[in-house]
Amino acid sequence: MNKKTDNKTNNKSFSKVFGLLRSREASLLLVMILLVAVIQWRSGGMFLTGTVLTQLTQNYAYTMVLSFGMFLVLLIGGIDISIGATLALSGMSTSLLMAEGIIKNPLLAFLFSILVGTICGCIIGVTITKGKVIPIIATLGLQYIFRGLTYMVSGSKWVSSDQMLAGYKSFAQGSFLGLNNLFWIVIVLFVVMLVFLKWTNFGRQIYEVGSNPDAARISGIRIDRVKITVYAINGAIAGLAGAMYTSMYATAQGNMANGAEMDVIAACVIGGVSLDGGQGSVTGVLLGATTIAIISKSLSLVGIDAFWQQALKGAIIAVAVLVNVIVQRNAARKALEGREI
Amino acid sequence: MKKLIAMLLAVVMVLGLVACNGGKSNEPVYAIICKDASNPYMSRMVQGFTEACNKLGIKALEKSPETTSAEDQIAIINDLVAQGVKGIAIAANDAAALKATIKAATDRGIAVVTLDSDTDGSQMFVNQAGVKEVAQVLVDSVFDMTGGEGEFAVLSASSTATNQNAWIAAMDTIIKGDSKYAKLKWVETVYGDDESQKSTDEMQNLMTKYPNLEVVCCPTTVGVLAAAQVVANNPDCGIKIAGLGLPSEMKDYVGEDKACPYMYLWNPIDVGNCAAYMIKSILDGKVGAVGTSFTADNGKTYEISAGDPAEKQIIVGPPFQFTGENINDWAGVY
Repeated sequence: MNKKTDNKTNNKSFSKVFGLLRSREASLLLVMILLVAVIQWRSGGMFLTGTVLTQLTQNYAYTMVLSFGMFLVLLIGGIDISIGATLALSGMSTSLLMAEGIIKNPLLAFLFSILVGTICGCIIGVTITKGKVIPIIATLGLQYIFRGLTYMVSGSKWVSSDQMLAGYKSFAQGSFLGLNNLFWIVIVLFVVMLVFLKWTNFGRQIYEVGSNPDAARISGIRIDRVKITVYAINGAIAGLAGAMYTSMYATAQGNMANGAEMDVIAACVIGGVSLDGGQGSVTGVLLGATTIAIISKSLSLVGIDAFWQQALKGAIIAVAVLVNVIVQRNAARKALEGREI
Repeated sequence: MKKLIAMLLAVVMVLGLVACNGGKSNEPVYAIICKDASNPYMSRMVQGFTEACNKLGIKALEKSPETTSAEDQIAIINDLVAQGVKGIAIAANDAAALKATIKAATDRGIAVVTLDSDTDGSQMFVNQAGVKEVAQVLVDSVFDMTGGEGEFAVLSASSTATNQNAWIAAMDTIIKGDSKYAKLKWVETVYGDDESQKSTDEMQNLMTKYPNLEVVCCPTTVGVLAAAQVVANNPDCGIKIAGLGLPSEMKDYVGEDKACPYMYLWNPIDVGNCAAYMIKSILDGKVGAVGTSFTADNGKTYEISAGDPAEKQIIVGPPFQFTGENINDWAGVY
């Protein structure tokens, strides 16, 4: 599909190309195509195969899902660095209940994990709005609490594959219409987010709260309620990711997804989401998360020394953000010029 | 209610004191101090220690703190010294904090050895994982699972992990040093950072890059689990997993026709058992200088090497093999 867009842009006139580049998503798509082309070349054609792409969508589905939640939080001008810990707590408590034989249904397991995540998210939201703690500090503190709770409930032990429901584990390995089940969660969530942000009142309020909080307050939006709801949704998504993670890897470990928040924030920033709030699109986020997934998956395929992989990953992220920002700035300037004439 | 609990506690304490007095008889006593009282791995160590003591005709005593606290261990050592035990084996909760306390004990002629986790001041560290021994069983697993020739890869923890790097370096030395292994082709060493996502990626990428890969050797518990799961989900790939794994975690994947035919880890019973014999050997004056060797009462000969931070160390023996037959027994242990 990427190739098609590429050909199309080549065939159309320059103004059309520019028109396409005016959207953030198109510029990001271009960066992604370039990246894939380089990887495909350097890996000797090993990257663009059905197997590798299936592995990528399956292995990075939970990171993509987390990006959607983080996106909402960034939109209201907040940040949540506790999502890795929320994921661990919800995934672990769900797995423990399965091991104890209390949860006997895979769907129930997913719902329970989402519930735990939602509670974590609500606590974060209330701490930030009612406790007037700035988001990065609040979630830094709560991150340790959630992670600590994970170790406490599990007694620092792992939940292993044989203690989990067979249906729970096979869900993550199964597929529907050729796409992995976990990736279907990403697709469904993407569509829901698209509709939610574009066509619902609440979705528009999120943008308003993020881009101009004072104006939003004056226009009668209950800012605290919007914020708490957004953190709760993000928590619910982290809970969902917890179930996805534990079903995918058929293990629950206290330190799982440690540091996942950094990849997720990077995905959002690459996707054109502003850390100041109010700016970004869900399509951009999906593309950003896919870019991160492509980088992470391909580094070892390309045959880069393990010691350099982290540094290179950072460099690619930095370049991707830079290219994206420059293209966008140009586009914005052109748009402004157009308005003045 | 509070009063009732307080009374109960008082009764328990009195009983504890009575029990302590029991140790003051003429019968020699060796004590073992675990990291904490509730660890199933540690309780197997105690089991081995007690068995060895029984064979030696010595009374075994277990004293462990409620939590993994070095302060509590200091208090316990002081109690044991006051009781007049002959030897102490301790799984230290801190690498330095116990030094003064241990010195006070050794000054009174008590033999103090460390097991599982070493600490400064210990006379001997009973090391469960000799680098050479671990590397040897890993190389032999690869040799056996490939049938003596073919491609294999190593999936490790992080590229800076000390233990794993030492084992991998020793594997390299062993393979290069024996023509028996000449037909093994070590294609790559990759690092999964002990994360499920990264380890899964690395394992899948190895399969993509090397279609003729026969064995992946994972000297890390997280890596071996991720690799085994990938193979279990691709039953037709024909790859076997070798490595070091936790039995409770690997239960689903270890067995004759499963992803991992067998794997290794240290056996806590052997470690505890060996510690008791080491105390006896120290008290009997058998333990000489670094570089010499001695035969303990269990009939095995041990080489003394320089410890860090303990004065000396010995290696318990090769790691323990978990197969499809014994994995279920061990899954409940650790």
